[in-house]
Amino acid sequence: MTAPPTETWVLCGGATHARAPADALRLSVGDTSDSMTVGIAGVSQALTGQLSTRFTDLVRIATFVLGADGAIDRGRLDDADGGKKWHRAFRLVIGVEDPSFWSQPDVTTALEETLSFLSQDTFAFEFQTLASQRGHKKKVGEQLVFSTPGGKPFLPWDHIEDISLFSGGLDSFAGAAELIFGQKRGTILVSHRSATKMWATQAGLVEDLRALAPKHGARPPEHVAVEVTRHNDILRTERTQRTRSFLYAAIAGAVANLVSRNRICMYENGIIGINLPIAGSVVGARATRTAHPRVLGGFAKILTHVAGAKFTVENPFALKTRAEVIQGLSSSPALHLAKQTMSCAHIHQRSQMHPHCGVCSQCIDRQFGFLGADMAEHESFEGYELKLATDEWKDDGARSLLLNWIGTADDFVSCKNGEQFIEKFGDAARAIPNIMDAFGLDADGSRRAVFELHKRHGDTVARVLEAIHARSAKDIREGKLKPTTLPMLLYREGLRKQRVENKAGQAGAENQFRAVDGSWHLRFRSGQAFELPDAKGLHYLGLLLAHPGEARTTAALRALSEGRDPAGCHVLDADGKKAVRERVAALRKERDEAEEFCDQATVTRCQAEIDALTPLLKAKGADGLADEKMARAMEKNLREAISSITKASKPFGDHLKEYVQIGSVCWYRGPGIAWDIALPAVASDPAATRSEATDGVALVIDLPNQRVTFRGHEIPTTPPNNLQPQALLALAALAQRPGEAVTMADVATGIWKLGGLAKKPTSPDQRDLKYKLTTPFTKALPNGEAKKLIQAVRGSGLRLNLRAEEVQLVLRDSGGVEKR
Amino acid sequence: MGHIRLPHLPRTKRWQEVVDLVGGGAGSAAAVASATLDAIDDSFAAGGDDAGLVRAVWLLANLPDAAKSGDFAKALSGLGVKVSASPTVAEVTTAISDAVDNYLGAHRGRSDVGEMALGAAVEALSKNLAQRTASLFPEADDVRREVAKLGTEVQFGKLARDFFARFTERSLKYYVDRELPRQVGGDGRFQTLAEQRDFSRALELHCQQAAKIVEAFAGGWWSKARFEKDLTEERTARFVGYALKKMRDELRKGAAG
Repeated sequence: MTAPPTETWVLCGGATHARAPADALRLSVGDTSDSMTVGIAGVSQALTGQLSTRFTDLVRIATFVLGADGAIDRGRLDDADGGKKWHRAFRLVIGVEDPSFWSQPDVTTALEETLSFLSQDTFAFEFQTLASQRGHKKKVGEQLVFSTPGGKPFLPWDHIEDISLFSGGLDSFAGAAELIFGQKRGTILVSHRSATKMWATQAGLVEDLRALAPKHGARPPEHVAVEVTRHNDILRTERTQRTRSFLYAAIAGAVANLVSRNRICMYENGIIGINLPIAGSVVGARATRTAHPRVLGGFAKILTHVAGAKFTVENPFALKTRAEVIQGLSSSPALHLAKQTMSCAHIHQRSQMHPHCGVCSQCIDRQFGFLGADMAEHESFEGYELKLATDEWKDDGARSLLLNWIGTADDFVSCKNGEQFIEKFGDAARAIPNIMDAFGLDADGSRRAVFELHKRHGDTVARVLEAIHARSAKDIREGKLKPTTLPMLLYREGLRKQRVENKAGQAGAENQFRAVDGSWHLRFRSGQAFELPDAKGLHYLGLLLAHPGEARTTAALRALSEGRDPAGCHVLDADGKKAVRERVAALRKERDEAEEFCDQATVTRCQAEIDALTPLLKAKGADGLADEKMARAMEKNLREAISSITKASKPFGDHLKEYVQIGSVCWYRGPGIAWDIALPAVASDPAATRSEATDGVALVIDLPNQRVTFRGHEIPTTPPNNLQPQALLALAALAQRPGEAVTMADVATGIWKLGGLAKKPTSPDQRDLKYKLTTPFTKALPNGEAKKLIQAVRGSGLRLNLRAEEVQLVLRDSGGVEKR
Repeated sequence: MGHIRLPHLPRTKRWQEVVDLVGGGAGSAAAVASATLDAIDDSFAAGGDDAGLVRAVWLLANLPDAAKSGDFAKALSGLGVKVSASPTVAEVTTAISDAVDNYLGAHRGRSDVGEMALGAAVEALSKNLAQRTASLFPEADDVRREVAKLGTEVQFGKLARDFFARFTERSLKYYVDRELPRQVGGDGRFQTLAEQRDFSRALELHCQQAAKIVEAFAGGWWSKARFEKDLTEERTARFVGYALKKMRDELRKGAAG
């Protein structure tokens, strides 16, 4: 089994470990001389002493996790390593005040499983007693800085009923408005104070809410701001910070604990919360899981352990779409503030004029949300740098995101029920258990609820797109819109712009190797077709591709290319035999592996090829020995041909280099690719042409050349659907006595003599032999011509139903057989 | 919150063929699949080493016997799958998803392959059970009975085919989806989103067709492993490796004739 990625050791809060490497990451939290500072503004210092040891530890642990998260690079957007860099492994050894609590398996498991799902990294925790912090000015318990904005004491907290995370985005704002104005609850809003721009938005909104509340009989909310500062550049290596929400939840939980509450809220619309992948390339936590039901459930489990009592982490918007969240604001006195919220992921690049980029997933969702809620007048669309419906989506990445997003919404609509939804979006199943807990539903009810949420979202997106289309229809017809505007990306009715000719633009088979008027037309895997001048090597290649799996000596190949009978050209030199032996060994290995997995089709295929190759090793005779000079010349021709092909199409050349065996024996070990092959007329490959029956002869069996024709139809003697070697000999044995019932013992004798075998084989099973004889005929002549060619005569054997004059059997003069 | 990190293909030579096939306009879904497998070398077939993938297949393989035992819930619990005494399809598929997640969370190492396998397993199981249990008047034991019926060579073969088709589709789209939407509009291959989605569907169908190769032997393997009382994760890992190799070889053939 693949081992997890190499662990990064992280020693936190002065912890040590005998096994930790010398270059382990060391983290501390405290003041500016430490790796990180966590500042929490808004809570009175007087409350510090009431923060429990375990909650202090929890915040400490969450801070260290975030520090480690930022220290190890997750790779680039164009990595094609299957996610190796994305997934990291951490072993955190943390000094805490209560190590025996944190070391309990249930607690450690809750931490590891929750964080593992949240960030897709592997976490292992070990806890030690917090070492005394020599040289630090502050005591351990004061390393988490609590202060009020102006040094003023915090107001009494008896009125506080809810603690809600507040990012300054639309959903958390809508949640705050619901708590404050809808439910009239005393609320503490907990914010992450990150970028200056975001803080200004958060603080501004809170101020506005505080000013508005008394006018509507509501309590002004309190505001706690969390600021995490990294004093070590190495902690800014990785910017994704998927574990950030764990710290906020920890601090919100600590604040809740301070005011003796056991619940925190994290408002996020259900679509973003569950955040199903919008494209095959978005796997796992590449779509953030900050508010995923499973994550919230995990946070709740951790907080319950820490609090020593049931603690919930709730998302009341978990089954609402963004449009529904916005609609929920329609009757709120805070509605006018909604346009001040900030959803953009690219906050650092925003300006006052354009607070939203318009192209990130949050901006796209937000634009669709306001339009879908029919509340566009409550949004500042001019604040989007790129507007959804009217601007050009020129940037490939932005356009990809938009189209994936729309396409996924459409896929939601195509599902008719919860079953179909899970059949298409299996990842959604991970949300179901926690939705069950949160909303008191059973599994079926939860699945239905999650499906209906996504269906409503899809319907909303469809409605918005229809409206955009309706407004744009005239411009589309008149060709006024640029190709990368949203209406044009979706609809192209009316006067269509001239379609750009595609660069390859050829019809025809995907894989071609055709001789046409003295040159060769080639194509591989529907890539660009190209032409090469005639060359011997191409001729030989064509013959090999026409008969995949058939090994030919160079003499036989040359004979075929010149239209001559390759009989007598099947003797190999030492090199050729070596190549065949190696191939037979590889086939045996493949066959044996296939046996292990009951893959009978592969066993049969391999065995057939082994049977075809093995006789080459036994063929004797001086007259067929390969001419070494000719063999080297042919090798040169083949390699030059492949080289010419590689220059025109590297993938084609690479394919041939991998699958064409060149030497004194050549063959193409084709992986089953279908080729459109046309060889020059002179290469009359006997196996490729239909032979004509002569003078009333219906069945021709040519043993030396392993050919069988019946009424002009070629019956294959090489896979697929072929007469196997022993069956061919059995047919020849029956053909020696046409019209007579031949016993299986006599058939065995015939096989022995005609095949020149060392030992007489056992009598074949009659039924099995009949099947093996008739199947190739019926496959080659599906019109039923060969249906009664071979008949079982009860008690007597098998009979070839032809007259003697209808059968032509070709043997060597000696009566022996030369096999391919 | 809600951020999505959308990767793109590297502009290396071997990926350029994939980009050219997609963008050039003539690359069929089959050709693109074949070129993508070449570009990722052996990593697709090496998926048999992945803990999450193996676990998902192992659970699917052991489900029917759990259903045939005297106590379905207890037998599933032994596999790490927690359900009620008479679970519904939704409950079973959710519990399977949970089981794999918990297994991976406990230090086995998360991976993209594991994520894709988990999704594919839930989808395949959901589809195969939903078809069987669609009834106006479902009974409490219906789901258990239908899970038990998956325990034949033929039925397990079908389930395996569905799983490997979906897993392979996800594995290919993991890369191909980085390029497809970039080719919509302007000079791109696809003039509209609908055309791009048609291509995606063609890729999906191609994977379903290719997965017939797995159906041909999966049932036999499963039956033999059960008979030998050796339906272990180790043996399953070898089966998975072989199945992926066969899928890769089948997809490399390109379009059928």
